[in-house]
Amino acid sequence: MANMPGKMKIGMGLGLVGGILGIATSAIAWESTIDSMTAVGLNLLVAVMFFASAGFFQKNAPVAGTTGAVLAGIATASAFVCLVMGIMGTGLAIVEIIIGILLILIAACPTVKRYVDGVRSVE
Amino acid sequence: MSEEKINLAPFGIAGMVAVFVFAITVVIAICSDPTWVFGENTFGDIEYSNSDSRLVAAVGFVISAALMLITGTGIALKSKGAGFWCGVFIVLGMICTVANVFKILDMGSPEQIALHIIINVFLLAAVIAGAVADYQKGRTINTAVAAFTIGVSLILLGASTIETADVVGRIMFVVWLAFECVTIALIPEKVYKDEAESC
Repeated sequence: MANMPGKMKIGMGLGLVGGILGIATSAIAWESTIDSMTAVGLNLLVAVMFFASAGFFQKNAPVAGTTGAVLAGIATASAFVCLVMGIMGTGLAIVEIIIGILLILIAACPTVKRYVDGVRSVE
Repeated sequence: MSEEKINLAPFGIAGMVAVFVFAITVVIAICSDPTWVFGENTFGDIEYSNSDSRLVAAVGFVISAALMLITGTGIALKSKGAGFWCGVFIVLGMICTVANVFKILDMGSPEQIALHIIINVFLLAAVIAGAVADYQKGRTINTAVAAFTIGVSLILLGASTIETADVVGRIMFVVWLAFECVTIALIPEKVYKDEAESC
């Protein structure tokens, strides 16, 4: 079996950082009121999607190459919505969006797609 | 098996011009209409305002919709499966957009929300069909951009006001269309045909 590309390790690290930032922002958004649930829920969505993207970059990739980019795309979309609605701090939202774009680019990289599709065909 | 290249470049260029016209129209119309507020107004509100932006918006939206109509027709005629449906939904969305502009100019009525919803449903369907087509062709970046567009539109529809979802969703559609047009203008699509079938 081919060695795991180094870019996948970077992708996993970035995905975990994005997810941890999402969890932190959802904790910040909680104001002990029902009204703050929209903000908490959207921030949790950001965290979940970034953790899902990080999961794509593990050694035994669970989904096909293009699906990883789709996951990263939805993670970026949820961070963008948080920016548009003013739920997340502007700086943090921009960091999340940059991480999301990097994840899309890593998932679209031909070596990563070849490795992931190779692993899945062996299984 | 013989390889045939489908040239969609002219339609891609028409789409890029449409995106450019749309962007210029939105910037000019919104800047010249101080009553228009993001989050409280839809795109249609620019067209029935009493300011100078009304005519600019109407002309710009009709030109860009006509060019997008050409792009959608080209995609529908030269593609199969999901690509065909993507083109069909773009055409339907643009016909409704042109109808909406003329209806507003003719009647001056602000009650256009039903037509707005129909337009947005057609555009969302076009993006979903385009995402499926890109996924099947292995165009990873385009699929991710489509997923981004669909994600932003649907999350905003659930979490925000319909006015915000309308404006951001329409802009997201144009961003996705720009990506698609650049791709189809620069990379010719390859179709493999059976020799027996071509005879």
